[in-house]
Amino acid sequence: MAKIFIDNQQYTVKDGQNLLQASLSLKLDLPYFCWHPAMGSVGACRQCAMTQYQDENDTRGRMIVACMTPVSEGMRVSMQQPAEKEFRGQVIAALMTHHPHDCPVCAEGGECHLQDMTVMAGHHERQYKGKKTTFRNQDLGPLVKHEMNRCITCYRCERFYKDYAGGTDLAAQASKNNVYFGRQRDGTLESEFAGNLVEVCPTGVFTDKPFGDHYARKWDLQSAPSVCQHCSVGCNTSLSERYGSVRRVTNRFNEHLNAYFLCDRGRFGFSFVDSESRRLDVRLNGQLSSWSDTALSVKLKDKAKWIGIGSSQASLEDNFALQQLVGAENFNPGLDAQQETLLATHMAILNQWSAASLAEMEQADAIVILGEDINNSAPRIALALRQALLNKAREQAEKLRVPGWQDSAVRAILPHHPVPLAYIGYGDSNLAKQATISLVCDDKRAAEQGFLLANLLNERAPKPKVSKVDPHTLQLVEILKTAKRPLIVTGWSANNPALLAAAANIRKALKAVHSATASASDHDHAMLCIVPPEANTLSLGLLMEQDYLSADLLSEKLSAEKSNLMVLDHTAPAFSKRLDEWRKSAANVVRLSQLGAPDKDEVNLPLSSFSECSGSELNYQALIQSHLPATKPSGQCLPAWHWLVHIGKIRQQPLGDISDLGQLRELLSRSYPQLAAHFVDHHKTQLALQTPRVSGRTAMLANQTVHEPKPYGEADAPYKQSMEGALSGQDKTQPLAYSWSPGWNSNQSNHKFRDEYRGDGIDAQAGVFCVAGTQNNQWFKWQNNWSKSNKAQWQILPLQKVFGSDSLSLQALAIDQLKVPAQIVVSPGQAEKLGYVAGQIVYCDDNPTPLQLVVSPQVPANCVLVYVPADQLFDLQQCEALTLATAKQHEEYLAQAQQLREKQLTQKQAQRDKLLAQDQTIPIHFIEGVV
Amino acid sequence: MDKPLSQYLDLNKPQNLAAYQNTGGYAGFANALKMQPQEVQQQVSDSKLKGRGGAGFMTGMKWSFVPMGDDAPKNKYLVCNADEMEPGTFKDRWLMEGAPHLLIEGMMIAAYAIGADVAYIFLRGEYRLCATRLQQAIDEAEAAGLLGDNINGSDYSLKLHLHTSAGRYICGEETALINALEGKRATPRAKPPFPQVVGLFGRPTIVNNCETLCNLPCILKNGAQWYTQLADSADTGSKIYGISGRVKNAGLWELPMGTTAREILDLSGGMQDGLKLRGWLPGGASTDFLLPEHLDTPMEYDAIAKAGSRMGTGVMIALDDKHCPVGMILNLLQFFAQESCGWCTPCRDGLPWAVEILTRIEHGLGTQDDIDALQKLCGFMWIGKTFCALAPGAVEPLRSGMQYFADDFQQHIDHKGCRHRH
Repeated sequence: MAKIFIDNQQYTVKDGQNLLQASLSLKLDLPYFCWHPAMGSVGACRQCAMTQYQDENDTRGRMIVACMTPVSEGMRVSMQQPAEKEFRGQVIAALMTHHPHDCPVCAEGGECHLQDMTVMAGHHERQYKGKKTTFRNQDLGPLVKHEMNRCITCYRCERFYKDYAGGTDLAAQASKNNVYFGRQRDGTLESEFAGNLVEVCPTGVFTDKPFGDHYARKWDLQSAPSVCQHCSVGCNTSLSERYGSVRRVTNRFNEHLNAYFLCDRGRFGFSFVDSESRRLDVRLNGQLSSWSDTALSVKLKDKAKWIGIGSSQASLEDNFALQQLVGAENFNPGLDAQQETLLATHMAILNQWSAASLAEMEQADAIVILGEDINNSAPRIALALRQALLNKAREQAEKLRVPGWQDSAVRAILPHHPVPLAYIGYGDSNLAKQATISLVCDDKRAAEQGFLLANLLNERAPKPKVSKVDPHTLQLVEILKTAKRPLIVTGWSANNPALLAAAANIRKALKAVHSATASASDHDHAMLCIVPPEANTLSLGLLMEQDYLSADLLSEKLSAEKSNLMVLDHTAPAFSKRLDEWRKSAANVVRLSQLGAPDKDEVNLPLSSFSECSGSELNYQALIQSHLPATKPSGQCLPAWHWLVHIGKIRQQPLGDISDLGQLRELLSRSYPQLAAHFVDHHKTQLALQTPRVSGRTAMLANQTVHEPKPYGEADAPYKQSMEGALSGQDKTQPLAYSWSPGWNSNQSNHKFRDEYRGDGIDAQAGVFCVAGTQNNQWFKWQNNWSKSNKAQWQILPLQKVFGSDSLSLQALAIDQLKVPAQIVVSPGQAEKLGYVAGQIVYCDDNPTPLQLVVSPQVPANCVLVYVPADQLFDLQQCEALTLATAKQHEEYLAQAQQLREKQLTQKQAQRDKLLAQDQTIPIHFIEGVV
Repeated sequence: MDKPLSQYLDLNKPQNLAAYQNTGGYAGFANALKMQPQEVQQQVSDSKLKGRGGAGFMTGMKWSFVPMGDDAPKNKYLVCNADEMEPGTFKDRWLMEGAPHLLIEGMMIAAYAIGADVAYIFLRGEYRLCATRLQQAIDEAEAAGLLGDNINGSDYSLKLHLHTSAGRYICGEETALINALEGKRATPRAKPPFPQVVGLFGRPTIVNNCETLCNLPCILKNGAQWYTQLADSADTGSKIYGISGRVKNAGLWELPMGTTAREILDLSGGMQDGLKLRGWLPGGASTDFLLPEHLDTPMEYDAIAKAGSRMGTGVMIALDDKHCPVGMILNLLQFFAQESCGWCTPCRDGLPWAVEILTRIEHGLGTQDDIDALQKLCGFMWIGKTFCALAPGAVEPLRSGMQYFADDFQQHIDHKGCRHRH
């Protein structure tokens, strides 16, 4: 800690910070633009000027910019002297010479950092009399809108997009007061993190396009703390609502997970809740029905055995309620046999090792990625790994007495001080390109090398069948032995439990290496991260610990005894195919679904989406997190647990005694005592979901009535919320529904709610981990049945895409527009042999899916890589022959793609019209408190 | 007097390698090669050579920050800053066109002294003739084994590249030059780290001005002692001085350090007939105006600073009494506003603002408030407030001009126009 004096007031601040960080941590208001807590300092905008004095006798001092000045013991500075105040005003005046002052029509208005800083710096009168520079805006695709005239040239967008996120298609161009931030030509931004530009830009150059199409001011939005549903990271989001429809998702700061950034699947995927394929009505055999329909209750009360099929798309509460209703022995997790093995292995590992948080992973000094396409399966983790690659350069900078937050210096040093990154697996990705050690191989060989690596680190680790050590693996042994914070990353992408076991063995081997070499005080800092496929996969793992009905047994049971099926929310075509098989021998099928067309011989109960009800998920660490609703349930929708409780009631089962979510959670906590702590906190929660602006003076529905309704609150919620509530963020144990502080209307207000911006150390991750990670560590033995044997010409290895492999987000129109069509990737050698060129359309054996050919060296021998969007069925695992599409087939393919594009645009327009029309005729009875 | 720089100079037909060697060329480098690199550094320190690019930093001192010895990074770089874009300055062009081998020898000495194995000449793109002649000289030196592996049988190797700039004034700033050379945007880097430690491609790098490097051969050939005795001045050695503007014969002369401005004006034959000197910029456009009363000031760093300006490049610009100082300042500021790299706010948006105000004043549309606004802008862009020295340099002729030629500014406002225009 260092003692410093700001305007003669003494403060104690953390060493190593810069003066701007320190001042903001002290909750002092100092304006800034180019600095960003996650991106460090570059000193470009000069907005954070202060005066530094040599000692207490120095009365003149000299001007410094706070973001480039490290704090030091006894330092004396001022931010209130007239000279620097005038300078800060002048900076704003200069920045604003070309700003269009178009706040009323700007989507950033009301949450604009430039507006806030202008007021803070005291600039209020335009003095510049010259002409403004004007720019041409670009079409940057369906997610981000571009309005260059508003730019104040802070360079944040370029620094985020290129440096932080590794994008290559957006940069600063031209010079002087004509600097242009954009692409070389119009076109969709290629980075899956482009949406963060909306939050990174301090003004309205980059704005949220879907939000702009159905817009509301920040002060009119009611926001709920939510959790992203589109991968297993569990990024914290803020879900904002107006007039009963969800308008946007913004980042909700979580120091250990997403920090300041989301991926675009998470930011824009939410609008599946407005999809036209949402199920809104109770249906019986395809016909509209209702809960009071006796035909329906007859079916639901059927005396035959009920088998429940859970879903990783549904919340923990929903799956738990289903497990309670049908009994654990009749609860099938909705996975296939291989996935069941993966989940069992995954849970066994998590019982022994805790998984690293993103913040911890950012501190890694050696990284092994074992057979996982992390860029596509969990983009936010890939972004964290990218930051870890700077660690050696930061260390070197500190040696040269340059602070690690001095971003341009660190990046200048970077080329000669890389963090070792081993990419063992297949497929092209941003991280594969950054690898210092690269071994292109299939999942089986990756797992074998993983086992061998563990064995080389510790001879007690079990060996696989093969013993040929790849030179890359040998290289890794030394790297991992000397690394202080090595990280092993793997996951489910390749569908092989051997990879998970290999990673766990390496982790265990590293523990022994550390206890052998390090002093007693030096802990074992090795880290492990295993990525499951969906937001809530691990909830199923938790429930399966009691007992479960495996997929294989389910089939047997169904054919042995006529049973009924109760199926939770599933959208994947592969599941539908399995269900169709089971349906043949099932008596009744009851489905509880959010999306999709109902089948003609089943009961359909419509489900509330995550934006319409409370629920909990277990992320990749088995950390339980809960989301709150932003809006009322649509149509006749209810949360699945609520339907199941109703069914319990009519069947007079114990579950029927539950009357609200709180009671269900108490029951859940009794079965899983570790959850009690999480839900206790939740009970105490009292949130203000609305901004202070909504205080009874404004009329939300002034177009219809000036009566002020009470804001929407979840019925029977186990937490309290009111217009007043606990002021957002004041109580640190409660989630921050939205970020706002007096004078700080933008998301930059974040620093008012925490001790400091990103210090050197990170606090321990709070929260409840449902799997303890405390069991004795075991070696995992190699099992031959984990890996598929390949006897065909080519083994097909699965690939994923950020925009395409998550079925929920594909129902969001903006993401659907970015959906990558099905692809097959072959190596240059294979392509040459076959006489194929990239871009051709290819078929595998007699499978009807047209695949676009991609050529890449990242394809192992005797393999092809296939990616098929999550909404299409493709169940080949190997293939004998590839055939080229005929000219006619190719033409049809192109025509279909064109039709699809046109359909997407029509759908988008229709959805927008529907929502806008809905705003005009808000059904007032939907809003509580209006008579 | 000795003219160690211009003695080799032939603008029409520069000396080829043989001719340069016959007149004593590469003897300095031969001496250097017999010494340890640190001894070469010491000799240059002893010569008290100051950088000729404008800032006048001690060359030996600058070199001393480069990590030396076995622990030092393997690759180090020497870069010659020949991106001569200072308005009114053309001394480096003169040297490079007239004596390309002199620069190459100087670079070889400097590279050897800091242990660099690769050197670049970062040349202003418009200097086409320089490029041709330098490339010829480099080819000759390579063919003769003076550049390349194991020079003259030693274990020292050096590769020298000529890089022609895409043309930005900011590339005169050494870290922006380094960025440009790496293929990045030409914006300055934050210091520390200094280029001597983390420079080109992240390696230790020395960036020296062309004229500075041209001084090295004679120092190594004749010794530091000899060099310090060349001039009877606080600063040592020989300097290319010059003058432009409406003088009789604008040009360049090699003179001892500390020659007075009046002597340089006299060498040019004085002002053209019918014109009187009103003011002068001592060393390029980014220095403060001085007045005729300052003409007896010796052209050395401290003396010029004491008079209220900077020595800069040492190539003067004269302002006469028949031309408008406001128009001249506007012209200069337009250049600087055009050449701002766009990185920091005061420079990027302050300079065009000053140009906008000056344009109105020059065209008779200025108001009294504009004078205050200009004064404020001078403070806004002053040293310590900007990221690099470009904007403070640009402010120098403006703030001194507003002080010395305040009446002219006032007349533009009172009479709604420029008396020099019709």
